[in-house]
Amino acid sequence: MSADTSLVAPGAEKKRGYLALLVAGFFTLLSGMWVTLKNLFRKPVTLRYPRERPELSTAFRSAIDLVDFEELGSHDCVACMQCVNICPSFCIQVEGQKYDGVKRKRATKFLVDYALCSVCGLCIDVCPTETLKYSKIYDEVSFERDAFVFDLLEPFVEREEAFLEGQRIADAKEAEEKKKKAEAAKKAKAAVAAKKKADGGEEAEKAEKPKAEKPKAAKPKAEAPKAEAPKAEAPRADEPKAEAEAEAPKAEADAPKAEADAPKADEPKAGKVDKAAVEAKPAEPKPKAAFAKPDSDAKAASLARIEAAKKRALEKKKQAEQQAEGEGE
Amino acid sequence: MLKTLSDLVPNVFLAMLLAAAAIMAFATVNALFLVWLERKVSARMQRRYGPTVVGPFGMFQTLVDVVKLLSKQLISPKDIDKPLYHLAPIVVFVPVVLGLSLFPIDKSFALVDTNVGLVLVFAFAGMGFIAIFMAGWGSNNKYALLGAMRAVAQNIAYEIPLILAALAVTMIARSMRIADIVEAQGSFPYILVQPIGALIYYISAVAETNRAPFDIPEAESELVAGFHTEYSGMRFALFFLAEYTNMVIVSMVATSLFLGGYKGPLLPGPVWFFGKVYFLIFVMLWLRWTFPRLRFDQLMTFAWKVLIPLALANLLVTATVLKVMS
Amino acid sequence: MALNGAGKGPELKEAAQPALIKKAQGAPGTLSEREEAQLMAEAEPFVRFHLLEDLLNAARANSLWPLTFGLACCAIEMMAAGAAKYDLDRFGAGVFRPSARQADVMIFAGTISRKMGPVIKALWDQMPSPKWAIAMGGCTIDGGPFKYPNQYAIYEGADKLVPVDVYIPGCPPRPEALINGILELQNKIKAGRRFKPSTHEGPIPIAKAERTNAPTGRKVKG
Repeated sequence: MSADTSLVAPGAEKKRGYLALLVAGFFTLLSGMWVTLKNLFRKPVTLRYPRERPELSTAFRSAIDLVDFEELGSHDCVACMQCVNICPSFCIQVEGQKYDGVKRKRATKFLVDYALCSVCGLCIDVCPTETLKYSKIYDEVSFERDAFVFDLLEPFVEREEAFLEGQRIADAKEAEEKKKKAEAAKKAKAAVAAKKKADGGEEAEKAEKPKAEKPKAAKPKAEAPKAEAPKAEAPRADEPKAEAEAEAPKAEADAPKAEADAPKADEPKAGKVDKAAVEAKPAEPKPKAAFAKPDSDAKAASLARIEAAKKRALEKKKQAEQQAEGEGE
Repeated sequence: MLKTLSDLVPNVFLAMLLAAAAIMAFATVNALFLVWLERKVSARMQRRYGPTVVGPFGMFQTLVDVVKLLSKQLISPKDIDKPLYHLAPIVVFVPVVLGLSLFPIDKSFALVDTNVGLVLVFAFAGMGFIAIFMAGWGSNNKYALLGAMRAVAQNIAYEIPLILAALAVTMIARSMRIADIVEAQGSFPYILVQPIGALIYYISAVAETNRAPFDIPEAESELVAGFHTEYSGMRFALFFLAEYTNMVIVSMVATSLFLGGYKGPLLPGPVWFFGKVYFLIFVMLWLRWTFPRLRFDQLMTFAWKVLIPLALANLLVTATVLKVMS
Repeated sequence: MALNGAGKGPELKEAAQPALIKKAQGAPGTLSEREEAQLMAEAEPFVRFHLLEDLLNAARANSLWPLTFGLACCAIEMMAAGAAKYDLDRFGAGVFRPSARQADVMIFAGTISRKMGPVIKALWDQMPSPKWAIAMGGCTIDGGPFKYPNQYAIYEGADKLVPVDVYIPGCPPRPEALINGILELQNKIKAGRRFKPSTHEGPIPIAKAERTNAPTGRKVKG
């Protein structure tokens, strides 16, 4: 019998005898069986999902979330609508409002429909205040079709009043600084003008001088607030951090107790502070756990505790500022 | 001396009832166990766990599957050939159950003992694909019909080397009674005398049971689910049951003809017998989860151009040697 | 809930919303309250076998054979869920049946184009009851990225074709999400009752009780 080509792989059409082909084929089968036999006794690679959780890579993308800035104590969405406009899936809905005494606009509604979102990330690229990020949701499930509209502002609602209060103070300060600078500049200008008048004569030269001086005067004016702003905010950013760090290990040490302790520790402090601050302060520190689910519970809890500590520190800072201002007036 | 059930139980009807009960119980439990084993083995070969949730190591998974299948709606499609469609799951199940009764599981016991045992086993096995063709034709579904035609073509092709390989053994043992064949394999099994015959028999047997890599009658990439495309619920489960019981039967034949049946040192006969049977079944599972499905022309080529000539040559050599030696 | 057209001018928003509402009313599985009550009254059996029903439901929940059936990119994740890394077979849901007659659950994995609609409907009708459907991915929930006013190519959600039991968002969802969806479907079938989990793998350490139908506090309806 001649070589049977129908038993040969198309790539390897070597002329071989009938029996040689059979024997060779038999041994390739054996080698295949050896592979499966080896794997039969190896450890499974399965991630046993409900019992074990995956380690998500840093590049993992899911529905968007608002960044919680430490120095602000809140998100920084100014409702500029850029994300809404660039979204190809029409899945973001934002509304904003301008508050009295606060310079920037503030988002009052931020809804994302995760069911429509295709995680393209355009909104994150376009955000001017960089307050959008990818969340790490990965096993969301529901029995209802319209359960995937996420309200991103929800974790921030309770802090909003305090934030606005703080922002008002900061903005007022800034405005005051500006005003002072402006006045100083005016005075300087007036002095220059007076000097000019006093000098008299040679008008051609004098006419040029103020022109040359004006930008010089304007420059410090423009720089002053810039230089001032970080100074004003630096302690605000540093102090809560320091306090949070001081409290965090303590909170982690007595993990189960911590949550019960947190409000207790607040009580004496709360007695001293004025009414507005008490209202603004949440009764229970709400963990930002909604989007931080993949972490282990302990980690999430400690994160929440740090978060609460930060918040408390921020409140204290604000009260101090308010009191200082009250005294100043 | 070999004893049968009719020797132990004098009343014929009682013996029949007992035999039927024993075989049905064995077939069902065995199929439940084998499906679980297959899922576990396949999982481990792919480095995953397989069923783990229901029962220890997922042992009751198949039981749960059967309960579910029992409670599923039974759909009878429009324009089916009703008698054939409804009979097929029963016809496919009956012969394999009958075949189970013929094997001596110990030196002194077999349910039924006849002097044409081997012929009966192959006759019952041959009835299986009539049922498959009934299912394919009765379903009034093109995929089912194509699958059934493939099954018949394949079974006819592989029946020949299967029987030729078994014939060589009967020539050596000079008997068709299965107990005699086992007894004739004195101190060493016939696989040493008939290595090629054993290999041919085993390959053909895998093809007979329509299992991968010879499972083209139900090739899901081409034929949806083949001949049982239109069967739902318990009717489908009967096909499943028949397939796994068929595996046991061909393994029992292989054990009796080539591996010395219940014979073995130290341990009692039934342990050796079932140990060998389940080892052969494990090899079938191993084959299934290693090799891809053959193309139809490859399948036919392999039967007609390789297995049948080899089996004929094997038979010729055996006959010659026997003639010279006697 | 539909936020489509937001910020793209009022006329788009107006055009999109009424069509959506109309379709939702015409969708199968949404009946008026009276009709539903009537149907329920008719379906109520005379005698109830609670133990038997519990047993059957437990069996059904632990033996969800999906239909081998993928529509688009989500199907890749579905295959991944069946493969070694995630292994759906642990929950008895790894037996992907090629024939609709033998399947229990239909996993909609991908965009449902208009052309595919009748095929899907036929497959769904071929499945013997009791049967369930899982909508996997944004496209099968409400059209996902392919949804925009006046589009003509896709069905905006699997529930326009069949009644869906579990929705899994994502584009595409991770295999874990599909597994979670199947676990939730099991809970739904068993109505809270469950087999005691086997002990050889240890107890489930995660707080399953916390995961309600609306797992996070961020859900807003409408």
